[in-house]
Amino acid sequence: MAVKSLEELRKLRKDYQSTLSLRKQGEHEGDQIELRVGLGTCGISAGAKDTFQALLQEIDQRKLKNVKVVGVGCMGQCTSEPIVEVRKPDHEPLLYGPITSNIVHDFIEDTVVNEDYYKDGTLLIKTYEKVEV
Amino acid sequence: MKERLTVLVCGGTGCIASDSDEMLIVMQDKIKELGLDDEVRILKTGCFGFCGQGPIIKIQPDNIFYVKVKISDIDEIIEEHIIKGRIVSRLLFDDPKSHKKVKAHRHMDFYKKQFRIALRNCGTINPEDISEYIASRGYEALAISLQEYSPIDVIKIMKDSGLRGRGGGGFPTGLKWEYTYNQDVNQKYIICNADEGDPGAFMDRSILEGDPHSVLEAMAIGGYATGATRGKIYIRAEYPLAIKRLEIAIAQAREYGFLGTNIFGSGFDFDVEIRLGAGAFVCGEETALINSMTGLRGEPSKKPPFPSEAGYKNKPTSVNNVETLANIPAIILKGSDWFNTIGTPMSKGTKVFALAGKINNIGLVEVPMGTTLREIIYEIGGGIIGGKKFKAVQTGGPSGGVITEQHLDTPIDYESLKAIGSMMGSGGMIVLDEDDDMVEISKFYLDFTQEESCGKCTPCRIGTKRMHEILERLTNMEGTPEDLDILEDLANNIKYTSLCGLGQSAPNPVLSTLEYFREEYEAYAYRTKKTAYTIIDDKCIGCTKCARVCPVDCITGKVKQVHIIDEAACIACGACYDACPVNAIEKP
Amino acid sequence: MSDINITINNMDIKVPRGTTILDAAKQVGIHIPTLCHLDLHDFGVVNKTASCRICVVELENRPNLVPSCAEIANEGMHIKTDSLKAINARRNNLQLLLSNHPFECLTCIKNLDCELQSLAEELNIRDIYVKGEKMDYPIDYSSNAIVKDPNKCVMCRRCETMCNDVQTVGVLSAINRGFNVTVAPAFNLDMLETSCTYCGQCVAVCPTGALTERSDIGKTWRALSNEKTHTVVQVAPAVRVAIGEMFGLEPGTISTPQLVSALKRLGFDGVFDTNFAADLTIMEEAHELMHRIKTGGRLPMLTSCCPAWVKFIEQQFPDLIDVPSSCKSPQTMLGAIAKTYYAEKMGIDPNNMKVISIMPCVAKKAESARPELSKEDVFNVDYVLSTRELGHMIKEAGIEFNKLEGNDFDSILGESTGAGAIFGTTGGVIEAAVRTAKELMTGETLENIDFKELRGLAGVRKATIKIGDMDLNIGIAHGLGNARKLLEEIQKGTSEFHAIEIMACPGGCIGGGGQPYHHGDVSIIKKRQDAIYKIDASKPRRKSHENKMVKKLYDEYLNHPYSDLSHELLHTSYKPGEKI
Repeated sequence: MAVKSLEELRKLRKDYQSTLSLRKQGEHEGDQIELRVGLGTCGISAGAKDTFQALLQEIDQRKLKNVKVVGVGCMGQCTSEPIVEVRKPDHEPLLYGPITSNIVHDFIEDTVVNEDYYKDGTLLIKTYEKVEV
Repeated sequence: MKERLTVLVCGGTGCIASDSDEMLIVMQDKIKELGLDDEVRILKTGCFGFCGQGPIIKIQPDNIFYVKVKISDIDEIIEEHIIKGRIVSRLLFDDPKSHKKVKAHRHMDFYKKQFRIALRNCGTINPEDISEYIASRGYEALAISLQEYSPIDVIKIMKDSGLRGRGGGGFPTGLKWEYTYNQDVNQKYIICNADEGDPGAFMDRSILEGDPHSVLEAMAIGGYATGATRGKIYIRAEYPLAIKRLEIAIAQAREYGFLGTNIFGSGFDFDVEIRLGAGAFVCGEETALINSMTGLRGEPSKKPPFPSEAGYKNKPTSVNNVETLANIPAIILKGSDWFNTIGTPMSKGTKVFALAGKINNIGLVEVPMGTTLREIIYEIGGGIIGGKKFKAVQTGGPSGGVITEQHLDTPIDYESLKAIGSMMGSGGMIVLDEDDDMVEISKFYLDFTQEESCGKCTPCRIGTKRMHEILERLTNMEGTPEDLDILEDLANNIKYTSLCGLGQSAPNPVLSTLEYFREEYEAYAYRTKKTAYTIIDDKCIGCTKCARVCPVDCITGKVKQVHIIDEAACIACGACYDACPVNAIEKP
Repeated sequence: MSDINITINNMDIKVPRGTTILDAAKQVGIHIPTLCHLDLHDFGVVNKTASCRICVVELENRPNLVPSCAEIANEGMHIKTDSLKAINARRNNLQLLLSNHPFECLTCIKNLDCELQSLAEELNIRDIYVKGEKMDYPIDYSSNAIVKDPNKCVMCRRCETMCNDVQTVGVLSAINRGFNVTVAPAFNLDMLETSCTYCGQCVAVCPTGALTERSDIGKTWRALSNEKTHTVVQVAPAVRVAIGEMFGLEPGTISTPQLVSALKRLGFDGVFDTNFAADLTIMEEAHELMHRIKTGGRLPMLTSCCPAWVKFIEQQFPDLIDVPSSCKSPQTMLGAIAKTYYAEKMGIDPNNMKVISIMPCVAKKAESARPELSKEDVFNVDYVLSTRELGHMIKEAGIEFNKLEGNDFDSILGESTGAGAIFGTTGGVIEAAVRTAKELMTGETLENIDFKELRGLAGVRKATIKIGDMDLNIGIAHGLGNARKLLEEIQKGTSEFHAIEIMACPGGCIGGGGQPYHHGDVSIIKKRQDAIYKIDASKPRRKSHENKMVKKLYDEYLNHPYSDLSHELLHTSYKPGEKI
């Protein structure tokens, strides 16, 4: 399967780039939007893993740049799991919950694409002060 | 199922020596057992550089950097972090200055001032998978060179970039390629010098283990520029992992047509062969390397003629170092102007150093030329272990000299280091503190060069032996002050009349330590060197703890009265020093 | 522009491009001491390892000194050969060499003939400022011909160059590394266990006493002092044109009469000439060649008087064992005849006879011990002395060589023709053979017997001699590397020759390993060669078959050449060996 030209090579690179995407996102700091999904036991039992996957699918489908999804531990408000924290540069982090996999599409539409709040009848809590380890 | 986590396990020899390859397998098995292998990718990667803290596991996109991981920690990492998203804070790096945990590598002092060009892919891609190299713009530089530039264009880019040989010689790479190009001979060669013999140096090994394709691509670019259709990698046999990774990389590159005939349809042929060394430091010298590769005794030959004129099989040959080569694809992709923005006027780009010795943060660092030694030692290196006093830093391995406190603000580049009596060398940097004996250090290096001397020329063969005998006499307290003069004379003779670089630089550690630490030599020569421990009178509280632990009963004193050590009987074991509760004992 | 301008010691000179600094300096009479350097370009080799670092000189603007023997002069170079830095460097490196050398000059065989000793004297070394450990290797006495003392080696690598590049035998090379490095066979085998041919070229170029010949002087003295022993001595053709150099005479001085007198004074009972046996060899060999040509036997035929070359073919080309002539070498033939024909005639018991040969060769020492060259424990030749050894013996006996009157050889085994005399040079054996073969095969008496087309010093030579309607193609090689070329042609089946003469030593026997040292001066060998042809031209009889005493031998004893008795006494066989 010899690569016979620069154009072919560049196409190949595009194909392979997805394997590195998570690493690239991880290294990148700056104007990235970070979506943190609570993966504590309560979160997982409430379907956080499905939310996680749905978020990844949605971002991929919409070809959104600069959005990374990270799993974190329990964020506290267990009754509202699955919880997603939206961290945007120069904004206060915001917690949303419950964000089940079926509403991920609209959730992303509002918070990322429209850079707005997610208004559809879910709980909106300002995030608590976290002590960095 | 979409992949949501990438776990990078360091696969450099250093971490493998601490079972990181087993950790990888354990993790992969566990993840598969838990049915998470679609979501979580576990892969091995090249050296992260922070070798003193290995084995290292990095998790993306969380950007968490776990250090000193053991196999017994794997379950917890999987349970807590991978499944539940909870960071295992006890495995995070503990900053020695602030005593705080640091999550991401870019916040660590060790990494803040680094600028990784040669090591750009080490720690981020799987070296055994060419698709990851391609995804990181791999082989694009080669394609561009073949499709858009002529050989002369490529040589001009190299010359303009100012890239100089990173093996220690510092010869401008563009010029070397130009000389080889100018030879009107039908067969030429590019040789990658991967012999890396300096004790304690592992820059080249890490590059070959972590990013072998960058070297192959650079060799092909070099072949195009000089007219060489054959490349050879001369690698020391003591690097089995690097050899294995290279073999895998070469096979994959051939599959994709990046090595072989008619590369990228340009009509240019280039292929690479691996040749193993057999345990000789002197074979890192280019003519000895070429002789060894030809099946002859690994002895250097006279220069001139230089290899670019008549090298392997008497054909024009460009011998380039691994690190030099690793820089080249980046230079082609980003341009020589970009490279010129990094470094100093005479020394462009970055240099990889193997930082070791009495320092807190040990490992591989890549810094822009011009970074000062003080920055490297105190900021990147985190300062001297145990808060001891800095004494000197030895650069250049057995060919280099020592640099003392007064020169710590010297910016690192070829000329500046030479001006203060040391040299860049291949990148070894050993930090020494107040407890290090400079005479023993120079004896250690001379031990090495004398052992590795090929024996061809008189000054190195016999001269280094005689120097070593003198240092032995001195450290055995059997030397005389005349020995110091003889030592210096010998050193200068060997330096100026040896046939090759090994002999010419073997006396450097001695000459350098003689200049800056002559008093330590004199202490041996005049037999004034203290070899016994002593008790500081006004600190001693007469607790008798020291006397009780002394194995030769040479400490006398009554309870609550100042004790005294019989210096003639003291064997300097240090037991009293450790036992004393009030630090009243002085080391010799 | 083929000339360049350089400055040496503030003198501006012009030299051809590509000249080394050493040669450039010679042109203006500036002497730079050297040690490892050896220029034998006439034999196709120059030892330019540049490893002794004695010849270093200083260049302007360069901190490192350069070896003048190997560094090519460049346009505009400023060279200082006698700056303090250069002189100091030379002395320091020499002192380092001396600090690792045994101090046994007084009893060393190279005393007064050693290049290291001369250097120490020239550079006025009075003290070794850095003493330390010295090499301590066992001395290799295993072979019958060469003694190797690694402790005296200065790593000049001349022997390695001769053995690998000129002789292509490949027995000697550097082993180990660093301080423990030495030149030896692979795995430090004893010389006896290797395929060393004992050609002695390593001995001929060794600057110190590291490689020397095994001494047989003691045994010779004992034989001479034993009244019951009848001592017979024979002298090779190449000895008489070189031995004078041991006594300060010009190379190429013909010292035959003095040589014979000296031998008689030493007490030898019979003083014979190997040239006689050379004539005998031609009789046998010419008949063998004619026999092979007539009966469609193996061609080409190779001469076999050189034992180093015989061992070479046995071990390196064992499949060509039937190619050399089955004739013994002249020394062995004479020894065989001495212990039969001569012993019977004189009524001497061969068990009480010792045959001693004076040879320019060290391989002859090994040859004389070959079991096939003996008959029931009685060896054809008992002891072999090199030219150098005889020179020492003569001095030891207090004989003033230059003042001797001069005698003739004892004619019974001492008469010789010009053809026998030229055996000592390359091209001589085959020319002698052609003189006889041509006359015997055509039945004509030759007018001109100077076959100049066979003469010279080129490594490989060829010529075609018309014998009747037959074109005899002759090949000549000296130096085993050149021999290898011709042998490989025979192996491939592309050899055009009917007869080939091979001598292992460059120049032939006159350049043998036992001759007075030439120290790299090839003109000495040329002068010896000229002398050989002078002897030939001065002889009344110049064809082997005209040798009256040889004829007598056949008439009285052997019957005719190639007879059964000739075969028994004068022919031998070869054993294929292993290349180690």
